[in-house]
Amino acid sequence: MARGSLAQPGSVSAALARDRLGVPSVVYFVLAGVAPLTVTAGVITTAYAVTGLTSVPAAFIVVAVVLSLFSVGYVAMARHISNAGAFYAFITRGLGREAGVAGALIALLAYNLLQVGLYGMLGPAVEGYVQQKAGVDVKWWIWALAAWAVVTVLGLIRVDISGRVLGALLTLEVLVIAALTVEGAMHPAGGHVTFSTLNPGELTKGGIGAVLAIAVLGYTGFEQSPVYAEEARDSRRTIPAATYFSLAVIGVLYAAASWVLSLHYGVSQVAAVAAQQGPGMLFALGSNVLNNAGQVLFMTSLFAAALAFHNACWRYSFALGREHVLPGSFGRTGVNGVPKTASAVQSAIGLAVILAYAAGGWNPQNDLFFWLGTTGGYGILILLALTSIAVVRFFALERAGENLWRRLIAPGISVVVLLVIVYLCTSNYSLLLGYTKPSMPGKVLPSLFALAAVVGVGWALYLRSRRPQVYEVIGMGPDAATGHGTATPAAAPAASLAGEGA
Amino acid sequence: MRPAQAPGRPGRLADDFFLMAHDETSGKPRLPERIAGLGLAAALLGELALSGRVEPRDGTVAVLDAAACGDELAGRMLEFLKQEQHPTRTWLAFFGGSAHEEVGLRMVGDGLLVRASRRRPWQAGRWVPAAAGVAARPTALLCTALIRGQRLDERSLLLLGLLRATGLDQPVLWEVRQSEPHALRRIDGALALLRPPLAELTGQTEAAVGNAIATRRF
Repeated sequence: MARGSLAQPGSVSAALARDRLGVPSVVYFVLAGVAPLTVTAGVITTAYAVTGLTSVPAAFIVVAVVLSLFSVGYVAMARHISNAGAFYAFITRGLGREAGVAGALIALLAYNLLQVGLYGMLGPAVEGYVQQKAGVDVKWWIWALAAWAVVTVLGLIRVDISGRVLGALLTLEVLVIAALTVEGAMHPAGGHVTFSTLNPGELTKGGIGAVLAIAVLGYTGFEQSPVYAEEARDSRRTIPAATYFSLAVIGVLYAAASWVLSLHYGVSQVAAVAAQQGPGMLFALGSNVLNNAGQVLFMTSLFAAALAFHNACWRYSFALGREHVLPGSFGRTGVNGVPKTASAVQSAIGLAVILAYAAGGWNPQNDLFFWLGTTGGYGILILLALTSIAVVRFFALERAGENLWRRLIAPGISVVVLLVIVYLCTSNYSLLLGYTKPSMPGKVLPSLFALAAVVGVGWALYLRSRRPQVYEVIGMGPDAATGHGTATPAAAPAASLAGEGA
Repeated sequence: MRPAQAPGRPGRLADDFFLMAHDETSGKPRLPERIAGLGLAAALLGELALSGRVEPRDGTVAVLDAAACGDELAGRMLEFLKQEQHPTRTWLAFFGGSAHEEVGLRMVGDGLLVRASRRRPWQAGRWVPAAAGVAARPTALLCTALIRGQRLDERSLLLLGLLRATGLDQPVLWEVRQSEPHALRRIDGALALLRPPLAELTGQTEAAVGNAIATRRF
């Protein structure tokens, strides 16, 4: 804020609004975390390869619609609660503190799985690129460790430039995806243009749960927009607009790119090509320059995603530390304003997983990136379903000035659809992981979330009986310090401050 | 220009926070700018609360006595607080935006600081203590009191609460951690004695700092 802003009364809101984020900035922050090229090159191609299904483009469209419906209630409720960047805050307010702590542990597990999974794609991507360009053979896990080290350092020091760098990389990513999509569309297989893979009817052909779950994985990160509510110029408008706009941008990118892959390589061939070429099939759509740019940006995109999920992880454990639901040290910051413990613990988890996969000799792309990434996405899916239920229940108890569409209809539909998707995923988890029949990982990986939920409920019950002050502020995150309990939404007035008479 | 305050007498709350938030000799900031701003804004509101002019309560700041007071900065703040109603968090963000400059200028006017010109074009100018000993005094007083287990007055307790809320207690209480670590454990009990309006102020400050950290905008 400019010097001398204490000169004229009547300018409080206006002075604050100047320093705050508009829709484009929030969209940039959100999309940088979504990392579109990671999804387009990594997730879409793996989805084709592993499931062998051609309904991937249709799934992206259906999921965009479902998540938009979800967001209606999500952004409406975000206006009325503290700590609105975290699923467990919604779950706590709607379904109670026991469910809230269960949701918090599910989220911590899910974001950590998503984060460590990325090393399984980043390592091999760099390995392949270096081999191709320099002819040097360095193992994937060495590159993964290098990326891990940079994430760890950036997590522990304060870097102001990262926002701008990520923004520039994001712009390039989107341009490259668009260019590759156009190039691919100009050369359809056999010269025929077909839209069959975009038809939602395709989904009924089988494996619907698996394809939808992978599509949800692709959108993960869109839910971060309410994190910026207190920073937004007018949170009532900025956050919803940024959420829908982000969903629209990535929905169009994903559906178009995955459709063009099926168009260019042929509907009957796309899964086989994906199994053989992996992310390379996307870059091969373009000329040499574009191909090369795509490969480089794919690596930076994976890195940006690893950093974004690292941030999401520490943000959760930091908020839980502020509430003392996790040990208070998670909520402490060093002098540079960085929550060292929260950041370091996530880094330790990443290191342990990379070393375990390196020692075990397991396949990084499939067993690390795809399995753990998909399992993380499945956790997010569970959280979306729980959050939707929480939204309906919250508005059933207090209307808070929202209309019927926001309070009940949109979140109600999203509850039903998300629960169906969760059911389909859970019952076909082995198929989701690429097995043709029931398997051990197909049972173990989804059960981790049940375990997290049980531990969460147990911990909340313990807090209720032994540490009632902590129990009282569950779900409030940093606002726990105001000690008002969940009955008084401390952030609500602050979140809408710039809207008042600005 | 008024002479520097006599040694032994406590200065203003925000002045003490300002000195503690900077390196004693180089004047280098110890906290990220935004967090320091929130802490200084809270300290300025704390001065008004200690003198009974405002009372932080129910998430806002109520003005009890807006009559003119000796301090020009406090007068301008009261003018704002009187004219507009906002949540405490909004006030912290608003005053926090200029608190660094405002408190710095006030301390220059009081002869406690001098404004050192920037060494390189891209660097910000620094506030350097006018006399050796001035900068270290608030830290020394607080640490000594804690180490000796003395009973802290309301002003020192509020200062301690704000150090906690901003994370500044880590560097400031270094000496206590070294020589009398168990004194740190008494802090929680001592802070529980803060009057509710002052506890509300430190709580709101801690929440504002936590939110700034969670969004990484600091």
